[in-house]
Amino acid sequence: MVEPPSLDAASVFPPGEITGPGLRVFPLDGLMFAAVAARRGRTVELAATIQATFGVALPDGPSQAESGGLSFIGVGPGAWLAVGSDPALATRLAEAGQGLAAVVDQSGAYGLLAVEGAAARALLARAVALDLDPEVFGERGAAVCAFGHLGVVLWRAPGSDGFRMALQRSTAADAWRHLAHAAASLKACG
Amino acid sequence: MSAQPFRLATGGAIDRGSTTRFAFDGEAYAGHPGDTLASALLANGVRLMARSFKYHRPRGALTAGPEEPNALVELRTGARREPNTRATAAELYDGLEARSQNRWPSLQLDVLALNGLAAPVLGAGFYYKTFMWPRAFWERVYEPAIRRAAGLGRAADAADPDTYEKVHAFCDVLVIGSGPAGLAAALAARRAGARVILCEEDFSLGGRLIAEAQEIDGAPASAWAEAAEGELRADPKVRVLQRTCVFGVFDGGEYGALEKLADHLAAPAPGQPRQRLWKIVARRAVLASGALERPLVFPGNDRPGVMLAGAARAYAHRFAVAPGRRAVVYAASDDAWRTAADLAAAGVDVAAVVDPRPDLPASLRQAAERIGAEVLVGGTVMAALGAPCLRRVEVRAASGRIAAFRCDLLAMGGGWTPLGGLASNLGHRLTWSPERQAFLPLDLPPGMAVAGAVAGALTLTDCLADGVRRGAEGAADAGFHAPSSTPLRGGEEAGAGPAYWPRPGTKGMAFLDFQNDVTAKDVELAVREGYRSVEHVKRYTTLGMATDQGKTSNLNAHALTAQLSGLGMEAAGAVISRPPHQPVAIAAFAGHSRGLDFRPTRHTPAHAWALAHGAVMTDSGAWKRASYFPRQRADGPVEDWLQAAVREAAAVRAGVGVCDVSTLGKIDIQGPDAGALLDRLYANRFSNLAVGRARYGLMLREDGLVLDDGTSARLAEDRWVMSTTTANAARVMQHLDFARQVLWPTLDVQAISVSEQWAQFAVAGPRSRELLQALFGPTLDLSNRAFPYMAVAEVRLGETPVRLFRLSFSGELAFEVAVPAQYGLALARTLMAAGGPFGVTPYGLEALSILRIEKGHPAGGELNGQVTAGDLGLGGLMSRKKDFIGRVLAGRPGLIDPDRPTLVGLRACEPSQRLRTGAHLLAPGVAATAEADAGYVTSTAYSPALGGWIGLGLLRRGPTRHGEVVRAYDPLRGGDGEVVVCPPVFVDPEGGRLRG
Repeated sequence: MVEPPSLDAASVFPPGEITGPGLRVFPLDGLMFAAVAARRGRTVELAATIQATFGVALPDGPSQAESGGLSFIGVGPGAWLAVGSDPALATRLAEAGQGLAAVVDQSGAYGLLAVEGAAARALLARAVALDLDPEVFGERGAAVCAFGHLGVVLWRAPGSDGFRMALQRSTAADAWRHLAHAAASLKACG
Repeated sequence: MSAQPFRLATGGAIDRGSTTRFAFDGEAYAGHPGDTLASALLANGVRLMARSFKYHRPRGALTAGPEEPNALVELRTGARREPNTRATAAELYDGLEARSQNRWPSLQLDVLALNGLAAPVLGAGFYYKTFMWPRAFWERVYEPAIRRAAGLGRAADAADPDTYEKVHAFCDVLVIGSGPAGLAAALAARRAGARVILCEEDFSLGGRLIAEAQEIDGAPASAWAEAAEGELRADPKVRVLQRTCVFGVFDGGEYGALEKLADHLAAPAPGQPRQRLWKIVARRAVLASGALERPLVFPGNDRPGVMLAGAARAYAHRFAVAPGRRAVVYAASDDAWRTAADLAAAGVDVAAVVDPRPDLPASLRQAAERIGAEVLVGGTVMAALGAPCLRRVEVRAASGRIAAFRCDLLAMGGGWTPLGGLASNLGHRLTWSPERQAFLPLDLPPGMAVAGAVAGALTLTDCLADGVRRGAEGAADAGFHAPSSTPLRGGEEAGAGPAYWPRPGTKGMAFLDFQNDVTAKDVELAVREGYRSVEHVKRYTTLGMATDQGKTSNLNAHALTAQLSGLGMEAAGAVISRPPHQPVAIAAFAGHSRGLDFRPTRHTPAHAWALAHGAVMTDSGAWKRASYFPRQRADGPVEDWLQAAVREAAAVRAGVGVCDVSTLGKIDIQGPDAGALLDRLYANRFSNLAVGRARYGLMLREDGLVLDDGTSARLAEDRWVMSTTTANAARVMQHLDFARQVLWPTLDVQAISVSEQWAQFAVAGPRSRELLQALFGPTLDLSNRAFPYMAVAEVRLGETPVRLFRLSFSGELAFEVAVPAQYGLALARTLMAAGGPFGVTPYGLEALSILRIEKGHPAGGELNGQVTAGDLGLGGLMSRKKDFIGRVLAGRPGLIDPDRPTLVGLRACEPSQRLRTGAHLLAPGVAATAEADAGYVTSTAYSPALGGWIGLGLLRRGPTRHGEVVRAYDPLRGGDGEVVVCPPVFVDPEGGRLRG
């Protein structure tokens, strides 16, 4: 009898990066995602538990908070997307949030892109209908929004002027083409 | 250079240091950077540029801007050929190739100019009156012939090779137009601290500041414009967009603008979009679109050489081109008189200045007489003559004397019309101002202000002051504080003076709308025939309906209508202007969304696996799914879809197949009240389902019709996973959120879409258990006893978590295996490897469809939004012991009528006879009428199990008619044959195989 095979994980994005003047778009591999939804009326307790266990203050509303490489992005009332490198992210969150939140592993559902550089806003303006000016979409800015015709979760990269964009796996190839198209325009037009 | 005989020796905003080569109708010419095609042609002495739309009249440039109705040309060649481009707005580039259009055999000699001879009978309404009979002739004979004769150039016949893009922008103050008012507004708003976007349609900023010889605070106005542009461009909080036309105003402070990035280049640079569509969201907007000069209306006013006075000045000042050698100025507005002095300064011999208005200030007359021009106050131009270009003007003096002047330029100025169209995009009508003799945008869309000439200001000083005021106000409204500033002063200027409008009774061909060849007589005819509303006159005569949207013609026609109808200007009103202000290519609206990117595409995690097995993919909503996996046949060509699908379906019934079902919607539902919510969502009960089991459920809409079906599995006491059809995944998620958040917010239940998280494969067929047992090893007991039909388990394959479901869509012993999506591709390959010894076959949607039709499972064709549970034979699922969404309305008499078409199986009487979806069901021998319609075929398949064509259908009183023969009538595809009505489950009705 042979050992059960172990399955290899496939990456969300095609290999490589998209670059241009003042622009670098690249996948952030090895990250885990989990959806967290507070049980009815337990948001305050959940926030206290998350603070105590992970040292992150759960954001209230469309914004993000990060500590020690673990980010929580507000994606709806009482709903967050957690992103971190802990391979057991969803399990640990579920344990901590027992009775306080529904936690679902979404590590296969999303891929994360870093959009960095002085031209990041100019690039995103080609597909995102949001005012990303730093005075409007500040350091803790986050939004569930459309990138072209695709649904994405977009937030400011902690500690940098760049952005993070979580894309659904099924749409990653589409988004990648759109980004490449926009970057080519940036390169040609400045 | 001598090749540009009309180029002035000095001046102009052109780069004399370099030469731009271009061609018009095959002739080579030279111009300079900074030229438009029209200015370069005029510099070369080319005045005849086009033929008109209807009468093929010779035409030259009327204007020096984007409002041009006459000088429409074809630019470029091949795939980039672009008809109807305004030569007056086309920026010259090296290698530009332009051709005249709508003429044959040449621009000089155009045979269809004979249409002009027939003009007396081709007036307004001619087509409506003439080509009515016989009616059938309109589409086949008249319209094609008329379209051939009335040309607007030829579109490119190859696909557009360029790319386009859309960009979003946000600002505090958007300034539309960069003339004196616009520049002043942008500076004032920015100096107050606002984020500013300034849009200018032209390739140069400045508007009239660069088209006139004017001064601001004692310095040339063009220098002030240059300094203002420098200040704005240097500011990171200002975005200056030249070559950008704001084409529409939309709700909520949204503005559409089109930026032409590469129209002034032979071809875009690699990666460079040709055009960019801006969606600008502005808290405040200042419309500083200026004003357009009106033509005067007299016979021959369309002849090449007849030009607007302001355009003649623009050619002289901005482009350093003498618009003629010898000119007559026809002024009906005080400011047009300045043209005489400006032309004289440019070396043009000004023969006469004619003004139809009596009693003008002596200062005007004196200035004209100083340059030696004959002055005819109270005179009118009777005719502009010459073929094809202007040679002579006949004038009737106030005394009645007829004077003739030899000339090649007639500069006419009928006064200025504020360009307020954008302000009426949201339905706000322009208001007649008796003082200003103009329609002004006084009733404005929210957030918009108007400044400068569009607001009725006449002089440079007034425009600058208005701009500063509106810019500062806009910034203040957006929350900024504007510092005070010193007013800017322009030089001394004449105003408009008394207004002059076209009079009824003009003889000959006097044009109002040059582009659509609408004459004063046409409007007079329309009014005689009873049209009073300017909107009706417009539609009857086609006035203002060409690509220029009547920018130079509408007001003259309104004035004529107002006089003839006796309504007066205020009552006659002005037409509403709708977007786009200038034509916008559809490609610009599409942006990135073309071809492959026309709409979003979703790939399943195992997409590459399907391709590797030769799958032919099909669209299933946004998803790409494997339709079938054709193989090379040993005895011949590659299988077609039917051969492949039949082989795949048969392989599943006989052995084992693998199908990617990752596209099905999947929703994770958790919380103490999850079961209660499911009971309310589904017609049947779920809360009593045991952990580790799945159940088929039917979901109704509130109106009692079927929304969707699928299975939900209970993973733990308070955790479920629901599956939906691919088509309804988003809809069901929405439905569930609505129920949770709006209908029953007190329930403690959370729902999260996990459609993207899980890759899922059906492993179906009598050998499916062997395959999985081989894969998972003996520690996992998949026997009927341990893992019966509808069992669910969470297991592991190596380190990977796996969800295993004993579900069957095919009616065979079958499982569904789900892994987190990142492992989906590996699992597909692993299943194929493990299935090798069992002859595993990948199967696609076509085979899936055969299998489910053989089992009578409803899917897309049946779940069409019009069926009840009872129609599908699933009435028994509807619980009588609990409430659920749709329960009450499902009991409406119309929905429980026993006559309703109900699900049946259909079998072709002649097995080889093809059944087609959509065929109507009729009693045999009955005429095929809508009244006799008894239902229709919803799904069809060739059944390898039955060796013939079968189908599902909705048939009146279906279940009572098993065994009957009915007619399947398909007039669209010529199908007509008899079918036997039968129960919808064709294969294994007892279900022994799936429980096996």
